[in-house]
Amino acid sequence: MSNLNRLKNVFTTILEIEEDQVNEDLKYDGNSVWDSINHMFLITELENEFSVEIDPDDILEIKSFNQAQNVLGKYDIEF
Amino acid sequence: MSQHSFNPHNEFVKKISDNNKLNFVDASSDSKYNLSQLMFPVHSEFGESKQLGFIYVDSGIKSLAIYFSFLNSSHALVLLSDTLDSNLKQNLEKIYRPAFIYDNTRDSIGNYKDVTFDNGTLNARVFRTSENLDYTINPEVKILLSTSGTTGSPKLVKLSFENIQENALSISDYLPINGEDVTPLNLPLNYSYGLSVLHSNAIKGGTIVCGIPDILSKAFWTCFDKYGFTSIAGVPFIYEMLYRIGFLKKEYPSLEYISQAGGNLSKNIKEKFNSYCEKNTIEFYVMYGQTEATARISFVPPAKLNDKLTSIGKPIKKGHLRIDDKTEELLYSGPNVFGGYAESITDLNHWESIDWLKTGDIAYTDTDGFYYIKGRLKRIVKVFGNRVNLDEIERYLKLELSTAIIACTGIDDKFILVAYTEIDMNTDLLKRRLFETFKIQGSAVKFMYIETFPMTKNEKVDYKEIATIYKSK
Repeated sequence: MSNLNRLKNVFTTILEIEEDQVNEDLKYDGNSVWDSINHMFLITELENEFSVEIDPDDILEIKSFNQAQNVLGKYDIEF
Repeated sequence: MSQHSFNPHNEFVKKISDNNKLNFVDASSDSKYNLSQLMFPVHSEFGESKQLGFIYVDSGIKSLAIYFSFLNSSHALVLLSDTLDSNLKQNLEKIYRPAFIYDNTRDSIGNYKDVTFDNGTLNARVFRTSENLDYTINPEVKILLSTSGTTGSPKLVKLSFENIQENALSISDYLPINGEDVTPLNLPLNYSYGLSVLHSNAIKGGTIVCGIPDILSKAFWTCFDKYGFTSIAGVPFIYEMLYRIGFLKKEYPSLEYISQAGGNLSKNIKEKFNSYCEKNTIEFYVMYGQTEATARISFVPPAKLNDKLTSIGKPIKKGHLRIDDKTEELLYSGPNVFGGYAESITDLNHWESIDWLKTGDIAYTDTDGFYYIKGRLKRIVKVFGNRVNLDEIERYLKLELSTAIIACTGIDDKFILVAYTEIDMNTDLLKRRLFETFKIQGSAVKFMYIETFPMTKNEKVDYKEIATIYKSK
């Protein structure tokens, strides 16, 4: 599976949304499905899926689907 | 601007208005207010005869202004989250028929007309009914809170002015609250712990900061430095989150104390925060309480935390704890014990005098008189600070799926485990239903297939064994 698909999978599994909802409009929002609780699950799942350890500062960086790709890029995960 | 008049018969409001250090900052607009500037003339519109109002709060200054304005009135208030699903809102409104509603998320509400208050500094819109309401509300009933927070259950905890005042006094007796404080309202006001932070700081504190960004955003930390927050209040999940985002690797010169309540924080995280606090001369208050006790029941003095790491501490001032001889249930008595539950409008006319509050927790004490929780009488778990009754969920799922072979249990107050014996269980559907009905995040629910349920000697499902099987996987 491509890295992009693996990333999409993490989002659909944790946020329980359909694949077509995982796009550049998908953003963190304290009140929606992507809330602070799911954010922490998301981070853990990203770490498991891509075998990386995400730096505390980067946890606050990942606030959209696009930013997730940028941050993972720092850990040599290419999209 | 005209000086607002505070109700002289209301001792609690008088205590707040007498606190001349008290002021408010709205971080979202960086504006400062004193208490008078928050007060709307709600008497003129809603009169003195006691009515019920719903206040759907967010974290902003207007919610705070509306809350204080109606606190200073003769009316009873139900505090709810404005993020509550609109169907759940309508259902609650049908059951309680509030005379007025504050909700910034809706432009209109059925039979309600809107009234706008303007005090020269702020304005806010309140909906009022055109219906003639014939119910009576007991003079004691002032604030009503939900115990679950997100599910929209009509079961509300009835609190009096005395309850909230006494609890605020007891809390400000042990927390180092003073007029120089800068306190962020980072917990929702419809949650008893969040409301207790507001109340205890309103009578003894200094600057109260509302409208703050989400704790998981960089803006929160910018805000932290800018205003120099002197405390943080958090439920276990917030501490886990703070730990994960590297809170303990940095220094916060303004921070004087942190408090934790709303469930059991895991021992290793507690230890880490405790040693960080000891090193940085920050006081760490681990506390215990329930909405039925307005908020607070007991706390561990920070100096004792190292020795009493898993304890819930000792009772707050004017409070008493004891353990039932037969059931080992922890019982609490004090001026902050509630006046019973309300499930509908007719319950508002009653105020029950409760001598000993049954906490539902099973406890023991050590030789120094510190209390410890060792379990729960009812099958209740706390998931992200919200109370979840497992029997209720199990009943619901069985009904929904027309199956008897399902069992719910809690795993370390973190997850709800749904065990099932049917191979082709549609777990996605289950998750969706749990979210729709109970607002439980899917990530807080785990599923496990087992061939047959383990049973206890008296032929009941052995939930403990199910949890053990799950953990050993």
